[in-house]
Amino acid sequence: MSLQGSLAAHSMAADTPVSVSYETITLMKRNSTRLHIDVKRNTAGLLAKGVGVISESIFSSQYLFGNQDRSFSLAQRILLDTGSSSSRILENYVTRFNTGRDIHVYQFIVSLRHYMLEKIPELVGFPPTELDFAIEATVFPLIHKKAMEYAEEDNKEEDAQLIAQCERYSALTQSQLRIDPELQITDRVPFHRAIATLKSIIFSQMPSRKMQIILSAAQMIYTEIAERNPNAIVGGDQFVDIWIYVVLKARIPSLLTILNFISNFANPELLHGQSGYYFTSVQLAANYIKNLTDSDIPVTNADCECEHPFLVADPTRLLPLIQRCPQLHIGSPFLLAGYAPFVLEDALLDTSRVPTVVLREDANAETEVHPLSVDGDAPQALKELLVSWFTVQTRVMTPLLVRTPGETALAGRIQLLSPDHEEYAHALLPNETLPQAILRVQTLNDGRWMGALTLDDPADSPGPIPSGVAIKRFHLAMQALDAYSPILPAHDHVTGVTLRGCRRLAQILDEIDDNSVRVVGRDLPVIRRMMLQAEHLISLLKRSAELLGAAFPDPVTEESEVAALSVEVRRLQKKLGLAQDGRLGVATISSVLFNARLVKLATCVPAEVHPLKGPPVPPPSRKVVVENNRL
Amino acid sequence: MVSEYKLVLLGEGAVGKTSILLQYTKRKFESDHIMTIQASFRSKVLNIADQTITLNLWDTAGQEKFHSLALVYYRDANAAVLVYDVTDRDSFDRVQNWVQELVKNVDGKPILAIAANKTDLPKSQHVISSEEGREYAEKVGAQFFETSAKDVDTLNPMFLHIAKNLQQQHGGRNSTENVRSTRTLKIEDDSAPEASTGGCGC
Repeated sequence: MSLQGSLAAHSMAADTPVSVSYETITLMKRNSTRLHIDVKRNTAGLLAKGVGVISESIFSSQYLFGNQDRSFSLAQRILLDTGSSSSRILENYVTRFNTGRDIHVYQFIVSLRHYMLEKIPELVGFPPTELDFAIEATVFPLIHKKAMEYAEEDNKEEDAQLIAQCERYSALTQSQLRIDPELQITDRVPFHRAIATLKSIIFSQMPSRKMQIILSAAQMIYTEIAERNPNAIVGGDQFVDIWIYVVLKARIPSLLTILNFISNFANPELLHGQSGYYFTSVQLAANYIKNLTDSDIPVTNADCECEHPFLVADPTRLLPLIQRCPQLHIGSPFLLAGYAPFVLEDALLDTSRVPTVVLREDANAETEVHPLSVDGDAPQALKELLVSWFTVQTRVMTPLLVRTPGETALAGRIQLLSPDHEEYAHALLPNETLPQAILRVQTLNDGRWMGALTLDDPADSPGPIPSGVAIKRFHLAMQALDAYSPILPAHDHVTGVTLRGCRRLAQILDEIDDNSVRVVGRDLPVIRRMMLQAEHLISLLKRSAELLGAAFPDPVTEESEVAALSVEVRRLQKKLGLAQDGRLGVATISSVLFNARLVKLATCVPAEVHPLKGPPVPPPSRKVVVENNRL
Repeated sequence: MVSEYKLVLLGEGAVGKTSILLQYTKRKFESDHIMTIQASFRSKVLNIADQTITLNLWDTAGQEKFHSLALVYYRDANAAVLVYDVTDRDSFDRVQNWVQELVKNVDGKPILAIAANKTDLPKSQHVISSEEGREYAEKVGAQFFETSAKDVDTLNPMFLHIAKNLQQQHGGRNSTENVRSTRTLKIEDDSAPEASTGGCGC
């Protein structure tokens, strides 16, 4: 039996009705241009992200498009030319697949490749893997729907289970998933690049593209860790814990179907090599998450931790939550001797984070705190939520049991800033108008004293939000969007945040022109990243609306929002002198840096600022003695 | 002729799987730290009797919580190295479980090697003697090696042994070639292949 025989089988068996054939051709033509562009962009993007540095990457071993422009388009042109025999074979196969008569796509690709190499003189010397890729890129968009139906068969229910588990455990922290402390990332959204990359797996229609995305998400993990801890070594044991975290946070709908799609239709060679390793690890992670139970989670013994109230110094931020949850109670305040309030800048900038103020040991200070208690029969999820709020970033905050003699009701946990983080304390903040005088934005886990205000420069009186903070706040919002988009947040939320941020940025940049406000040099790379993210988000939004259709959580009802956003982003890029490829020109950087000597406060106060006000009616305070019973 | 094989490293957490992988695949000039940080999957290319053999080394997660899920890693492996720590009886017991599971769940006959690791530690700390390890390995038809992740000379013979056996077993054929042949196409009788009449889209 020859390969030609098998090809003949493909072509001879096709008793295709003319109408189907016609539709197929139209679809093929429509898809071809877009696909080619996508494939190129995807490959270039992945290579630029450093995928190429790993020698066994599938780009070097399988799909290195050395001469991709010419060869890829040549192969696709042949496949899409309705007059060619290859095209007819392809078309017949598509019909066979879509009518359930032959689902062995990979074998078809191999046989068609052999056929084309033999029959078409232009393809002599053409690398087989590239040809496979071109065939795959042509055939999969045409059979994708049916292929997903096959993959979905037994997985629908399990997929629902998996996504429910992801929702249930979405608040788990890195420590709770036992990620090696050395390898934990202290960003607001740890591993957000890996999460965002993995999320994009739903967009590609080809199994090999999906595998590339998995591989690239894994590379993001290594890159993110290497940036922070160059001496780290991530072996199989460590990697899986991180991978579970990423898969859990990515909350990919129908992940099991996608995995099944890959194992059914991908080139089996890919499943043996490096990309196979990471693909298998996704399978393991998905299975682990599916079977995850409360007993698997260390540390969060939520019940035990909720036994004592949390002592909070800024109850106003908890009010929205308390209003929604009748199981939460806030008690009257009392003075806690020996501790001074300390604000974490990260929490201050992130309005979604409830506890803003932590405490720091100080023999001479005292702080007013309110006990926040939760009913014993409150839902487990609520307890977990609270505990994770209070222990998130435990490297910054140490839970502490505070006891009062004779008054056990006042025993509670406080969030204590651990001494090794005190070096981040730079500027002092006023008690009354807390957010109004933040200077010098440092790291995401930056913390600051609350106390008397002292400023470096007397001219910089407390007032509006500095431009640096506004930029940083936008950046945090964007980072969160990147990690959770495009599936989770409603579409208008994504555009809304991005649009607001872009307008604020534009305002800041207008002020640069006027020379009235200088942007600190270090903000520039941040701005650049944000612009790229904004662009990326717009394209994802458009693409998800297009691909998911009705399944898109919030269909594009007002195209004008996205359009306005695109216009704003383009205007900003022009202003920043961003080149076509989105990189900030060197000339622009140096000229802005030259101007940037001082930080001056901008004149705009965003609406989300939460002023820290005392509790409504301060009852008489009682002194409390503290025993240092660290838990 | 290039042959690629999948080799899984199995063993409890902290028995030194990752160190073995790192030491064995270390390159002379490793300048890029990204290369070092990624120690969960590595490839090693060997030349044996004029043939190029690629070993894809999979460092699997050994934590207790993954034991019931680890099948996805090893079910289609061509070879497995079962690693235990000579100073830890539990890790040796665990190896025996792995062997049972491998025999039960893997189609075909994967090449098995048992690595008694951390032999560089003082003899007084050893809990499992060479004899005990060797005896067990012989019983289950695995090759026994005493290794130390600090000394690549203890690792080379093991991987070489595996590679040679793979070569013998697969007769120089690509392992993935085998996978493919199990999923052959239904090919109908030869009819005249459609003539490729011009139209190559040029």
